[in-house]
Amino acid sequence: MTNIVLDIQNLHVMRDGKKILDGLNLSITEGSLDAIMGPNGSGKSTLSYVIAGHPNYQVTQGTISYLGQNLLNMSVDERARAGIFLGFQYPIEIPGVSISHFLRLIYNSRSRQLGEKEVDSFTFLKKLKELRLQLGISEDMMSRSLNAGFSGGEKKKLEMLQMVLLRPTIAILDEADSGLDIDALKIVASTINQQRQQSKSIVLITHYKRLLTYTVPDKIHIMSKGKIVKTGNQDLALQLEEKGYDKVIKAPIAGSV
Amino acid sequence: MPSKKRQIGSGKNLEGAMPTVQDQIEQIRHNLQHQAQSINLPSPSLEKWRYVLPSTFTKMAEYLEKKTSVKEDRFVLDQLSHDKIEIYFDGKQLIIPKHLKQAGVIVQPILSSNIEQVKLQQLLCYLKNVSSSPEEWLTRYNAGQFVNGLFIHVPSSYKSDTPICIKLSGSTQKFQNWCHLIDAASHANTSILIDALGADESWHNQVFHYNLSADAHLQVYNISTGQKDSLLTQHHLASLEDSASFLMSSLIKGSGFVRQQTTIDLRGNHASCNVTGMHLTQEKQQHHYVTTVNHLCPNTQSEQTFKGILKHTHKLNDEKIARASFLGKIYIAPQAIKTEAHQSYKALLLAPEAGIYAKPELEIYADDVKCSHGTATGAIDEDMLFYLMSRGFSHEMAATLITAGFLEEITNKIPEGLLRQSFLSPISL
Repeated sequence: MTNIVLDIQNLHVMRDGKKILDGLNLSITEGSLDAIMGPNGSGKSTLSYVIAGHPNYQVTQGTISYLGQNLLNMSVDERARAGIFLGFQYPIEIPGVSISHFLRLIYNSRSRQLGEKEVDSFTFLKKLKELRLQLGISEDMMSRSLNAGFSGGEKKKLEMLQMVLLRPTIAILDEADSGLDIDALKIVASTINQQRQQSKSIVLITHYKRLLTYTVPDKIHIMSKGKIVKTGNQDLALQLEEKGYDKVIKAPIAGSV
Repeated sequence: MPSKKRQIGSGKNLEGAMPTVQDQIEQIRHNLQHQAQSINLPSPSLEKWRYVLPSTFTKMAEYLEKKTSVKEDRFVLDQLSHDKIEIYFDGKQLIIPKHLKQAGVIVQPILSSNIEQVKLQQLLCYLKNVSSSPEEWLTRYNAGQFVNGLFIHVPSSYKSDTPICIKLSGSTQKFQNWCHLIDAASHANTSILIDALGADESWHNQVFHYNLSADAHLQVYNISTGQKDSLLTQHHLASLEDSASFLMSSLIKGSGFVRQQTTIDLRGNHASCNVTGMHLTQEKQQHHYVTTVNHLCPNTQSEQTFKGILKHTHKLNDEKIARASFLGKIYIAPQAIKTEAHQSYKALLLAPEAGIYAKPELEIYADDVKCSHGTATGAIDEDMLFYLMSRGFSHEMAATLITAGFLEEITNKIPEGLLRQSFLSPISL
């Protein structure tokens, strides 16, 4: 039987008195790649924030279980240290925090968590260079402040770099493909595929099919009005591309799994 | 009449002869002391003191009542056989590094037997010109009461990246008024690190007078880390001639009360200054910055960047919360055309109850100038905290990273090496 990494049951979430998630059910298995698609305002980003533990969202009903633990009882940092990674749609700029210093801190912190040896500055820089070249990140970016003044593409690549260094059990990537040119899109897809080969679970939140061309998901879920309304395979993405969300959501289930 | 008991150095006032410079200095000090007694301490009704808590004035008055007479300290110049980077000035002992002496740098007590007449003239000039404004009462009081201070002369040949480190460790007196004169000759270029350590139950009222000749470049790094019940009032006055540059960077952390005033006169063409400051204020501490940059000549430039962090864990009443203020003024005289002046103050409130007050001021009488000023106060950005915590950092560590990042605009300009290590060690972020 395939291990369930994340199990969400009947999740209801509010923010500022407004209901955003309305009875959402979703199960993510070990090593799977799930894509969540849906129209604007359907609650996709909210779902990612709730999994990561953003304090501004109130879970009013339902459960989230992560590797058998009640995720809702864990703080944001506890969730991260337990192996949950959120790739931000809009990574936050933090002036004055040097990227290379920050990356080394998170890498060694995760190593401690995993019972691995921490690395010294020299060894880390060597590793960082290797990953940086794979992701097409320039060296001068490393001396800048975290996300400050970066282009959309640069920010997304840096999110990928953090994901690789943090070695998460599950990564939720919120619009990892937005703002990327075709070359960067291929690099991001390739990084996701590498993670997948290492049995990491990935949840891709996206509006478009184009990323799914380079990294084929096991399942595609369509979200609407705060819940998953359809689950299918790659064909579902093709239908969305041809007909749009409104028609596919209303149509009888085709290509479901 | 000059007091015979207070004759200093070799100055002698022979009957019928012209008064010596020393006698003139004594006369001025006597007058200033007399005037100080008839003027009240500053109060919150004065603009430059408006954010100081009333309890501080009560405390100052207690010190003044206890300490009315001035006792002379003796200074011993100790020549060490080995080089030493630091100069300790604790009111009794002064240790001068050998390499400074060899380079012609003079470091000695102002009122010593071998001080040159020309330097005494400089002191005389300073004392004569000390402001009579009620707002500058402490500076005036210092001029009348000071027992002694350091005289530093940096010769034109002296150029060094190694800072001259001065530790002002406090005398045995509870209320101390030191006045220091720092003189940078043309084309001199050096850094000075001043570490003012206030002992508990003490009030150090210090004045620093910097005189920069044409093309002189002086960088001053000033750390104020006193004990929690100490009062520290400082006034840094700088005067710059043509193309001179003055950098003043300060860090206030600790002490119950610190008020650091900086007044810079850009008197020469193309003179420039860069003044930065950081305060880390917590519990019931008060930290106040008061800066004035006077652009008195064309083509002068000034930059002021100040940042503060306030936090406390307990709020008892208004007198027991962290409080900080920044009063910054840029004055541009009618003749100071082509001047550029910028000022910025930002504060991070880690406790919403903490009090922060900022008042930027521009007073411009010249056309064709570029000026800007701005202040901003806010809490730690919740999104930043969430982002960092989502990477596994605890709330405390995330806040520390954000705080260090907030100060980085200032800290990244501190040169690497000993200076950076010494200057930033009190914050250890």
